[in-house]
Amino acid sequence: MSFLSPWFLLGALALLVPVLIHLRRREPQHRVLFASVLFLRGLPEPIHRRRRLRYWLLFLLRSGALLLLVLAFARPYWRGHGAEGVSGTALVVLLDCSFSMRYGARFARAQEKAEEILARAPDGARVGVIGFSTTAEVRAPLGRDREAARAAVRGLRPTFRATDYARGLQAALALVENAEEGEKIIYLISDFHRSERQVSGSGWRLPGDVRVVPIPVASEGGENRAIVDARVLSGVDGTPRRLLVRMGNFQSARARMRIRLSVNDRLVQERVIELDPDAVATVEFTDVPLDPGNNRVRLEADSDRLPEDDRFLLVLRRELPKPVLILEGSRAPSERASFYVQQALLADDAFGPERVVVRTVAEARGASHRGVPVVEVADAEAVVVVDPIALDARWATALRRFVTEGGGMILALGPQTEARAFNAAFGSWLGVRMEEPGGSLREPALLAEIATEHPIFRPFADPRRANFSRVRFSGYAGLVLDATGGGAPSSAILVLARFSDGRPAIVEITRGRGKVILLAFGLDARWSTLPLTPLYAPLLHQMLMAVRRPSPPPFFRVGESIAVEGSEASVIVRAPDGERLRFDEERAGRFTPEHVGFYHLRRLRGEEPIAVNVEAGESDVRPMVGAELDQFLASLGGRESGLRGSALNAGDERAADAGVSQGDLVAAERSRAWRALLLATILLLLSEAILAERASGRRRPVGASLRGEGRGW
Amino acid sequence: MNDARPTFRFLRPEVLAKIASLELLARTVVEGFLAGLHRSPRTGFSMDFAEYRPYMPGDDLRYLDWKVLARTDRTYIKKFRGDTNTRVYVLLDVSASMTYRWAPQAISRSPGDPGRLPPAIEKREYACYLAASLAYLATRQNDAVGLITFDRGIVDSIPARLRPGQLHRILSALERMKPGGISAISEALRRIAERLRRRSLVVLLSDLYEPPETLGPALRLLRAHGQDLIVFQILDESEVEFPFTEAARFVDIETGEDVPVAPEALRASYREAVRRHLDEIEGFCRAHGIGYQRMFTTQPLDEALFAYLGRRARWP
Repeated sequence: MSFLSPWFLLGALALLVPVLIHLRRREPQHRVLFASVLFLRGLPEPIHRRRRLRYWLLFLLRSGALLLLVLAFARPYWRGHGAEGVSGTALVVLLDCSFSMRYGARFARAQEKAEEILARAPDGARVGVIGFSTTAEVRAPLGRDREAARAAVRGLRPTFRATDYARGLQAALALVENAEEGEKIIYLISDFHRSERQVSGSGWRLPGDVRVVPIPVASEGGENRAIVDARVLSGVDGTPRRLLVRMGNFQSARARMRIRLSVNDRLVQERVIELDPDAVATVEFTDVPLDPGNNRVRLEADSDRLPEDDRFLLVLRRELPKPVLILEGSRAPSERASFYVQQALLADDAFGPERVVVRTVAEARGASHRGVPVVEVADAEAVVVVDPIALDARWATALRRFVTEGGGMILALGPQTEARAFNAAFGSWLGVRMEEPGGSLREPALLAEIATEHPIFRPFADPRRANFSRVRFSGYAGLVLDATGGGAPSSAILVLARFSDGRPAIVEITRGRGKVILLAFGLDARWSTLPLTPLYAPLLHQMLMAVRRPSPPPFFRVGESIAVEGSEASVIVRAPDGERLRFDEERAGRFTPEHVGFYHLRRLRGEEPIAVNVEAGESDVRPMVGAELDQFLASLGGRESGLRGSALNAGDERAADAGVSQGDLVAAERSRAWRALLLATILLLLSEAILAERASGRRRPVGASLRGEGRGW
Repeated sequence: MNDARPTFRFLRPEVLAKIASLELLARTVVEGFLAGLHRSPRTGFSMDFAEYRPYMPGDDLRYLDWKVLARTDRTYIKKFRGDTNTRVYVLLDVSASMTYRWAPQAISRSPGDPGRLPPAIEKREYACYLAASLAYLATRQNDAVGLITFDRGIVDSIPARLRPGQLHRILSALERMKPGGISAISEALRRIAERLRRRSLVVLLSDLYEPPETLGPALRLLRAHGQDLIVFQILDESEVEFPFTEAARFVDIETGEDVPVAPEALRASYREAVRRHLDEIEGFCRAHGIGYQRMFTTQPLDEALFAYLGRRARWP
């Protein structure tokens, strides 16, 4: 037998009241000083009669009535009766382990609810446990071992990940879909907080025989402040220049937030910001003093009930400036095709004369015999090859290796570029062939079909600010994309711009870990008017930034797959708590962080920190209520699911409140035991009234006997 | 009976309790008693307790008081002061149980219920009044009077003397008397019996809360030492009637022992046990030639004086 409202059983304690009164009165508290208890002590049972209940039947009737009343309120029912299919129930506890569940006692409450559900599961029901966030993990497969399921619930811990209900529901559906005939119930235990709106995936469908019972556990207000994101803006040389921090005030009151910026555990800057309720604002830090190499940057706001999102970690790198190597074919300085390139680079403060190294191919060819160019190439930030006359195999090999290992190269073809030499050196490797001959056009060509979404052209996307139609091309090198792509995926070759006749003008080619931007025109004024326009310098900067060796991201989020250069044997990954991590089994050379903090990659040549922060979208932990929650739950069911509109019917709500299964609810509805109990209570009370009246009639002539023992009990 | 004692109203304990001086109290009692005695129609004899005693065979008829004989038809012999050699010892129980008195205001009662009893004074006070009155009376009779107070042993002792100031000493001793502790009457009587070398009239004032099987031998011992013994068992009426109604824990004044009691359930049994105890003591006294008088603290003292004089009459 089970009870829908077991707390009412506490009312049975009222039965103790008359008994306690009787016992208390049995032992009198009043004290009388008496000359001698010589004769009282000698009596056989000084209080014998008080120990007895005078009217046993009345006592039993009243106690019975009280007990039946308590039972009626507790709503008893018998499992296995009155609800078809209860014993075949498949029950899955789907417990939200996302970051927001760390707020207050939400997760502990969720575990309590889960254990309560498991304890109340109908006899014979099969139970399973799934913990989910942006991933879902089956912690206890569907089975009849309740204890294992409860242990699985107890073993769950809140993560730092976001919430993906669809992923959790899909995992739960996969668990119950093979269940036997009978009711299939998924208890979705979550805080249902506001920012959990994302429902990944589509096309999944909630079968009609599966019920989802949402059980909200967020009783707190969910007031929270957080650092939600940060962005690093670097200069063209890759040095971090500005740090933009997004602060969120997820509460109903205006908040004053103090943000401290520490670099390598040194407090360097501090900002104070006033935030309106439900507002997100950006705080900017500039001129952040960085040490050479990797800098552990910590942003900290005043702590609240969810402290993990009040800090944000980054790793900012300040590397020693590397030069941009310019290779050109011109022999005389007056004929140098790299003149405009040099001027454009020097116009930026990041580049001084020492960072722009110009070599002619002839010089390079001569130097290459001494091995110098190879070293220069390897140490360059990027290489700009301008109108190469002829590159020998050694040079070609050095440049190819440079690119393959992550370097960037801008290869601008010009009037002096020999097609044969180019094709021999780069043609097959790049997957692009130069046609013979390149030369002047009778009609100047224009740029067309510019890929404005590409980072190179993104600053020029607004036609009011950048008009490439003014650029005239009097000649260009005809490029033909190799159908085989040089053996690389076709996606590795992108045509970023075409001439008006459809020929490729700018092509981006990815090779290895590096990039090449191949220009069908030179970077001097012989074939185009581009160097004479304001577009030249920014376009060159954009191209350099696009091809330069990419800096590692300043931070990662929990759950993000992080690529590690090197094998597991050569790199040791340690979590913030010092534990050594294994690489992902499915993806070689990668690992997935699950904790917030600085991870460390330890190699022979040194140690490299990696900053990991809470997964985004979890900081607004205020629970959804009322219509907002209903609407969300309806959307949870998916566009084609049975959850829509019937996610929470009245029965489900009551079941969710009480933490009992739908089967239990049905059983209780059908048992009607409480009505019978109430009827029996009334009958008992009527009998008691009649009996008490008769007993009272017997007692009346005695008079004083009411004063002493008895008193009706 | 009540109409026979209107003149004894000053002898009622509750009235006497208002007299501060014990000597004055004793004088009031005894003089009032004697005055009433001469007028009382119920007293079949009279005697001059100072100069007269009942005639006994062998007495000189010269000393016969013919006036008294003519008036009362009783024979009394004139005695002269200092002729008596009677010693009277008052043995007063001062144990804690003697401090008990019925306190009706502490118990809720309704008219007609068993708890309705007149207010009373402490048994100790009553015994004290009686002892003072007896001492006064004995002094008036030119008897040597002494006082011994006891609980489980002898607390205070004033040897019997016939000299000026003896009464004052006794009354002072009574006035400064303090309640004692646990009583052991038989033990105390044994010690007293050892102390009393000469034959005396011993008046025992006690509530006699001791089993007859231990109390009896002690009384017998006193008798065996040649003492003439009269026992006044002083009781509060509630000790016999047990008028309590509310269930309570009854605490022994002397030992602190408490017993939970439902009075209504136990009243009959209690009364029966008390009655048996009193009967046993009275029967023992009668059987062994010991005068016995049960006195309730609400009774006038004259009944005790009558009993005393009756016993005293046996002495020369």
